[in-house]
Amino acid sequence: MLRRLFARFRGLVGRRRAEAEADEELAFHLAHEIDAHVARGLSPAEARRQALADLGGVVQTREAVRDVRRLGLGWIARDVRDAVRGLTRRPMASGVAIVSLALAIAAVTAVLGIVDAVYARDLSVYRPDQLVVFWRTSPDHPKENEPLPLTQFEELQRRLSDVADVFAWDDDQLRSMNVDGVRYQGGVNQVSGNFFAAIGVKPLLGRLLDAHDVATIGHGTSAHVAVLDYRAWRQRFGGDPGVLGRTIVVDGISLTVIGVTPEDYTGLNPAMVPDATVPFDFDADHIAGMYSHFVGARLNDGVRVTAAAARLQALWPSVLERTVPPNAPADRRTRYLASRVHVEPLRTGTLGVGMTVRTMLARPLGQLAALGGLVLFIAVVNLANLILVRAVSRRAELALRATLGASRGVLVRSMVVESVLVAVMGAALGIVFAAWAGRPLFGALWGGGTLLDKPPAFDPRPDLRVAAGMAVVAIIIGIVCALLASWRAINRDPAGTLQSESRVVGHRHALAQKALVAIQVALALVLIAGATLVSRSLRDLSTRDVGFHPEAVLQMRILAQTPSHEPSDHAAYHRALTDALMRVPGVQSVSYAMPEPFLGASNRMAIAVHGGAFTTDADVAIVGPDFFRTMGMTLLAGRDFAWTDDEHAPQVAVVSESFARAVFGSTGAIGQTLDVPDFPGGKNARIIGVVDSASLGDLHSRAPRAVYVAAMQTSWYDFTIEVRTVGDPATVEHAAEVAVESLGFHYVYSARPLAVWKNYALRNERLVAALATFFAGLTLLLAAAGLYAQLAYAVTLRQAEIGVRMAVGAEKRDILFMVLRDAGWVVLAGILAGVPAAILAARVVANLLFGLTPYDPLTLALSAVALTAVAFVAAIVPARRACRVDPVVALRVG
Amino acid sequence: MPKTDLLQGTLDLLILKVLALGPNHGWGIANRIRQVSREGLNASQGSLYPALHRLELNGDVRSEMTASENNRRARVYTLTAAGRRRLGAEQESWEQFALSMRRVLKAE
Repeated sequence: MLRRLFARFRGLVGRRRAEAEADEELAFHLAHEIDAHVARGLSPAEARRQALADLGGVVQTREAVRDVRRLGLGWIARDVRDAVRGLTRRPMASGVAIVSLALAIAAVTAVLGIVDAVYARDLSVYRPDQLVVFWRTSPDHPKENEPLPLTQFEELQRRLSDVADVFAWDDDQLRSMNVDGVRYQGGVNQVSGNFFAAIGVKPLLGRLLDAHDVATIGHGTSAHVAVLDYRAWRQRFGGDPGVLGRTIVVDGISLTVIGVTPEDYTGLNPAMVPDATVPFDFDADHIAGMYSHFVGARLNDGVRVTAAAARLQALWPSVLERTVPPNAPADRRTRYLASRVHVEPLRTGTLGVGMTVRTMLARPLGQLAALGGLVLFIAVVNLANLILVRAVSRRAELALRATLGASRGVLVRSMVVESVLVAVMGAALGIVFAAWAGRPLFGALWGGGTLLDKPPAFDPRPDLRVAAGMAVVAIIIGIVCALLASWRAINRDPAGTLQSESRVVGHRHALAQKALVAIQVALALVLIAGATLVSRSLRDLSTRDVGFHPEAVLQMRILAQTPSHEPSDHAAYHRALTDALMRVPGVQSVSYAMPEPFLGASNRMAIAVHGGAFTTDADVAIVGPDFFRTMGMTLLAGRDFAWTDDEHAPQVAVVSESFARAVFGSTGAIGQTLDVPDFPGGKNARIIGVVDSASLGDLHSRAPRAVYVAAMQTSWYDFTIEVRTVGDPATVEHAAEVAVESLGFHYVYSARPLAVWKNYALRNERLVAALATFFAGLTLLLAAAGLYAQLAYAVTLRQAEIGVRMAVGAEKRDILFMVLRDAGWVVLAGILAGVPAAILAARVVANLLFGLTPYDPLTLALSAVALTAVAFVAAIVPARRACRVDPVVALRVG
Repeated sequence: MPKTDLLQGTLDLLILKVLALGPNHGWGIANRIRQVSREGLNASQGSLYPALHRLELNGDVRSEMTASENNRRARVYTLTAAGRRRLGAEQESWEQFALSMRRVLKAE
C-alpha cells in the first residue's frame, strides 16, 4: 500500500523524467526488434516498418503508457480539482469556514505554543537531556527541595567525576547594577568554575568563566570578572564589540567584562535571564560553606539518570559524614546526617522564579485553552455544516454518479478530500496567525515588557512540533466532519433521489442540518454568556469602590545605591526621606509601605485578640505615617500613626472597618489589643484607629479584614514609597527621583503611577474578556450564517410545497410564519441546550468572576435575547423570499 | 481502477510468468512470450508497455534503468514479492478457468 502510494507520488513529481525514460524504453525496444528482423533477412527499411507496425505506433504506445501513469495518481488530483471547484463556487461559505477554522486553530495553537515554551521546551544548551539537578530534603519536610551547601557540592564534584561533570550555580537574584553611571536592577548568576564548560555554552565574544576565575573552598579568591548576557550587552552597551575589558559595578564591586554569552543562552531559568554571570564568592562572604546553591550535573555520554542516581545514593552517607560542620551542636548534626538527596532532570529548567512564572500563567492559560477549544468545536460544527450543505446540494450529482457505478467509498472520498482541503487551509492560515500573535499574546499575559525591565526569554511562537500536531488535528477534523456529513447525505437509494429530487423535502438531511445549526446556537449562547460575564466582572473590578483612591498616586520602588551602605536609623532615615519628598512641588502627601499595593495577592497572617483567647486572620501591612491619607482612605475613628509611634513608644495598630466589625462588633475596636504572632514586633499592639476597608493587595477581595502596623516599630526597612500628587503623578516623577537620591542611600529603579499597577493587576481579566468578546461575536455571526444557510436551502427545496400551499389558499403571512416557526424551533432547541452548557462553561472562568455567580440569570437571559434577535434577522430574509414564491411558477418548475 | 478484461488479465499473467524466470526488459519479455507460446500468442506489443507500467504502479513489478549492451540504457523489470503472490493466485484461477472451459467444450 505504502509502496503503491510512493510509486504514485514518484509518478507525480518525476513526470518529465518518467516520460523521457518511457521514450528511451520504446526506442530500445524498436532497436532490438529491427535488429531481430534484419537478422531474419529483412531489409533495414522493411524491418523498421514491421517493428513499428507490431508496436502499434510509437506515439500511440507512448500515450497509452502515459495514461496508465496518470490514472495511478488520478483520483487525488481529480478529487482535489473537484473540491477546489466546489469550494470556489460558494466562496462566502467556504471563506467563512476557512477563516473561522483558522481563528480557532490560531487560538489553540498560540496557547499551545506558550504552554510548550513555558512548560515543556528544552533549554537551548547542548544535550539538555544529559542535565540533572540534585536536591536534598530533610526528613521533617520530605516534599521541600533544598539546594546544597558548597561543601557538599565540592565533595560530589570530586567523587562523581567518573560519571558526571558536577557544577553549581545561584539562581538569578536582583542586584544593584551600575554601568557607566546608569543604575538599574539586574539579575546576576553566580556559578562554579566548570559551569559554562559543563552546560556546553560557547562565548559569542571573549571568553567565559573557567576554573581559574572561581575560588574553591580554602583556595584562593575569585577573580573580579563578569560575563555579560547577550540582551544586557545589546541594551547596556549597544552591542559594542569593544565591551571586553570594560567595567560593570555589581552591588558596589567593580567587575571586568571578559565575555558575552550567545543570544540563545538564557541561563538555566528562562523565566529570568541573568544580566551577568559572575564567579562564586566575588564578595568574599559566600565561601564560608553554609550558603546553599543549586547543584547540577552533566552526565557523561552513555550514563543513564538512574545509574547516576544509584551512584549518588551509595555515596551520600559518606558525603554527609565528610561535610558535616565540625562545630555543629548534636541535634543539628543529627538533622544534617538524616538529610536525603535525589536527582531530577533539568532539561526544561524548572527552578526558582521559573516555577513562579509557570504558576502565574497556569490559570489564564487554562482559560484561554478552554476558550480556544470551544471555538475550535464551533469551527468544526461550522465546517461540518458547510460540507453537509455541499453534499446535500450535490445529491442529484452524487446519486447519478452512484447509478453510473461509483461506489459509496468513492463518494465519501470526494467529500473527505473537500473537507480536509478546507481544514488544511484553515490550519495553515491559523498556524501563520498564531506565529504572528504568539509574542503579543504572551506579552499581554505577562503584562507586557513595560512594567518589568526584562520579560522572560520564552519564545512563545509555535515550533515545528506544535505546528505539525495542529496540522494532524486539522486533518482529523476534516475527516470527521466529512464522515459526519456523508453519513446523512449519501442516499442509499439513488433512484429514489433522482426521481423525487425537488418535490420532497430531504427530511433526513434537513434534520441533520437543523441539529448542526442548533448546536451552533447553543455554542454561541455559551460564548456570549461567558463573554458577558467576564466583561461585566472586569468592568465591576475596574470601576467599583476598592476603598482607596490609586489615582494621582506615584509609586516608587527603591534600591540601595551600595548594598553595604545602610542608614543606621531607619525610622529617622524614612522621616528625612519623607520630608525631602514633601518639599517637591506638586506633592500632597508621602508615605511608605510593605507589601506594595496591587501586589496581586494578600499578605494574610494569623491574628490573636483578647490576649490570645480568639484567633482570626487578616491582611497585614507595615506602613508609615500618613499612609491612609496618601492612599485616599478615610480614617473612621481614632488616629493615624505618628512619627512618635517609634520603637520607644507602646506598640500600636490600625485596623480596617471590616476587621473591627467582624472581631469586636459594636463594642468598638479602639483601645483593644491584638497580636500578630508570625510578625516581629507585632506583640500586644493597641488599636488606635479604624480606617476604610480597602482591597489593597488583591483587587478581587472585597473589603478584606486588614491590620496595619507602624513601620517605625518594626525592624523592616525595605519599602515602596507612595506619593500623592496634586496633578498628574508623572510630572513630579523626575524631581521625586532626585530627592530620593539626594539622601545618598537609595535610588529609584521604578516609578509609576499606581493606576498603572491597577491596570497591570487586571491584565488577565482584560485579555480573557477581549478574546471572549471577539470570539463570541464571531460565533454569533457563524450561528446566524448557519441558520440563514439552512433556511435558505430549506426554502429552495420546499418551493414546490410552498407553491401547493399557496395554491390551496395559504396567505403570504402563513408562509412567513411557517418559515419563522421552523427557525424558532431550531433556535429554541439551541438555547435550551446552551443554558446548561453555559453554566458549566462559566465554572471555568468562575475564579475570574467577581460578584457574579456562574448562574447569573440576567446575563443568560440577555444573551438568549440577543441571540434570538440576531437569529430573527438571519431568518427573515429567507422567510420573505418564501412568501414571494409564485405558486404557478413553483408548480410548473417543481 | 478500471476493470481488467480477460485479455489484459491474460497478458498480465504472461508477463508475471516470464518475469518469474528472471529480470528482463520489455523487448525481452515480448520476445520470450513469443517464443514460449511458439508464436501462437503474439501479444500486441502496443499493449505490453502500458501493462508493464500498470503492473509497476500496482507494485507487482519494479523497474530500473540499467546500462545494457552497446551503450543503450534499458528499463529492466523485476518481479516483486507481491507480484509473485499474485502470479500464484492468478495462475491457479487461470488453470481453474481453463479446466472449466475444456469441460464445457468437450461436453456434447
